[in-house]
Amino acid sequence: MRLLLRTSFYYVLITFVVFSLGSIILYNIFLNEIQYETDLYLVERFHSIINTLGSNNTPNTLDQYKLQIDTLDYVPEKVGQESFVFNDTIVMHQYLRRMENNRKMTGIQKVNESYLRLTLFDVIVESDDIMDGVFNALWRLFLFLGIVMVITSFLISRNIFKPFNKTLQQLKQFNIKELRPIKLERSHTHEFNLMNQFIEQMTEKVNRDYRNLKEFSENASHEIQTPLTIAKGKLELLLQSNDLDEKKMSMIESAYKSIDHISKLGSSLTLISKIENLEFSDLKQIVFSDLLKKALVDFEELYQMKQIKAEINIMDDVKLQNNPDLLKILINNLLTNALRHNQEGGRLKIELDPSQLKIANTGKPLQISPEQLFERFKKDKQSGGSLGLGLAIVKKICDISGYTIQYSYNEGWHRILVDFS
Amino acid sequence: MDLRFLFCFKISSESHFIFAMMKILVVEDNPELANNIVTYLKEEGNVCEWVSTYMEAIDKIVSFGYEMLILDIMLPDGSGLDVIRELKKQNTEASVLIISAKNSLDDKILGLNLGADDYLTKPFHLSELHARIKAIYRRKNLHGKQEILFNELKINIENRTFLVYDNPVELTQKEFDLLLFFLTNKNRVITKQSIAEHLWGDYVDAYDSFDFVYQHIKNLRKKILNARGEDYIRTVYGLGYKFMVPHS
Repeated sequence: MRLLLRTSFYYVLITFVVFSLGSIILYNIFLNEIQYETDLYLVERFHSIINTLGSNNTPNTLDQYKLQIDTLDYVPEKVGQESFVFNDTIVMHQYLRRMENNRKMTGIQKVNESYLRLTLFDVIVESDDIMDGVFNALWRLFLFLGIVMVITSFLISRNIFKPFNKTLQQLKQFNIKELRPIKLERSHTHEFNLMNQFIEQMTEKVNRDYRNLKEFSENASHEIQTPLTIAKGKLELLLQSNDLDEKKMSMIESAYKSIDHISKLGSSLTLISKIENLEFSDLKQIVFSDLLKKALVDFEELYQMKQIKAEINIMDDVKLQNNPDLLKILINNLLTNALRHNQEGGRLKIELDPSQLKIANTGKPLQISPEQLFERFKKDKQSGGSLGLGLAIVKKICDISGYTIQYSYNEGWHRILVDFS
Repeated sequence: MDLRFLFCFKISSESHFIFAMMKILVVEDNPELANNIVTYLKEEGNVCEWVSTYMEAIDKIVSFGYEMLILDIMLPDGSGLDVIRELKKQNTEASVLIISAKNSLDDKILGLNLGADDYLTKPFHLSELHARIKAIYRRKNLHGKQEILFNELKINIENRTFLVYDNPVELTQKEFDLLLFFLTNKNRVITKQSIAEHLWGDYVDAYDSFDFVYQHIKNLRKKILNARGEDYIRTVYGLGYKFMVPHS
């Protein structure tokens, strides 16, 4: 739900509650006011009747509609103002012939030595009429307010939130690898300015940290190469001496193997960062089919050694616009992978058509989750001395070339699908 | 003092082969690495000198003639690329092999454009370095007669043919490269890793190629033995192989 819609919804809800409570208050005020006015009118009439009676008129002549005059045969306790009593009653309406709510007032006054009790009636506005009135007025007001609120909040927020939306847009486009910190416009809203400032600082820091980290790992993998070359060279020279027995040899071998592993690791990591840095940027039209066939010639011997039966189905003249080195690495790593995780006497299927490359091999199911397969150093226990970078490199190449890569496992077959589109 | 072409023909009772000695200048700022290179190359019978800075390198190439320069790109007081430029000004025929930890394509292309003959990225195997030096040497100095003789074995590099007792033996491309690699590093223990890298380059994971190396060596041995040649290849426990020159 949009922020605007949400706030509007709550505003309408609150307005509804306020209007409901307001209608009760309004109703009571109206009722009181009407009663008060009616009472005032009745009192006025009372006095005017008494005045008329005082100027020698007999009560009978005044006996009329909505007035009743009784002569008391006792002396009342209260007279005049003090004897006024108001209450609500129902009286038959003279013309409408139905019962109507009335206000009744009784008062006693001494007129010409006799005590008269006057009872006066007046129609008052019925409470449900007031209710109707209040309700009618309020729902119109509510509707009007609602419409105005929605329209104005839409217009205002569109204006107010403009910088916010712009910020959002830029954040969406932010790419940590582009090393370009976000520059945001200043707005008239203090909070947005604070936010933008914070975002600018944050993205700058993120960029800086990323760059530092990248430079560090690049430098590190680069700097280790010289000492590794030295160590390797020393071992190679040591190997040439004649007084080595098997025990010494095996020690040299394991040292040599470890150094080789580190140096491979270093160059693989360097390769990844080179791919990331787009150093393989000279693109050429490459006949991928030929490249794949050529690689398969090299690998054929390897398959034969493991007695793997390969079914190869390569369409001719599949062309790709890419860097030849990258595609070679891609093919090499995928074929190595299909071979390494295959079993003795297993099978291998390679299919290529203009839109995709499918490589499937038999093998044991993965011990790690398929999502981790393309991550660095996520390797299966079965893969022994491998670096765990081969598929990460493949993924990187696919990413920068705009290919998608998918992995699936089904009934003993590992399938990797590279989609060129 | 021009020691450019210096050939030694060493002929023993049952073997005759060309033994080429070269005068090599190693320009490398890391003394340990330079020491490795110099030791290995001297053991192969070359004359080897070492300098560690750009200035020293310029001094040397101006004053003396070398057949081969092994050049690090990143020097404390300058770029190895400038050494190549200076070298070309001298109008010498010295070959240049660049060694650099900077595995950058730009440097490689720039270096080769300036006239370097090859490019090797650190870390490298000494046997690989030696093979590259030999390859450059053969390319430059032995123009038409690129032939290597070793006892009953005869390799023609140009036609990529292999003869045992003058009978042609069919070798695959990899087997041929392997044999050539052995012959340029005779009497030395060559590790499986360096063979794998020599044959398949950097991008193939060495882990997988060891079995492959073994298989190729087995095939090569079989082919030489079938042609009644001698088995010169020894397996060095776990580590690699050695192409033995029999003692006379």
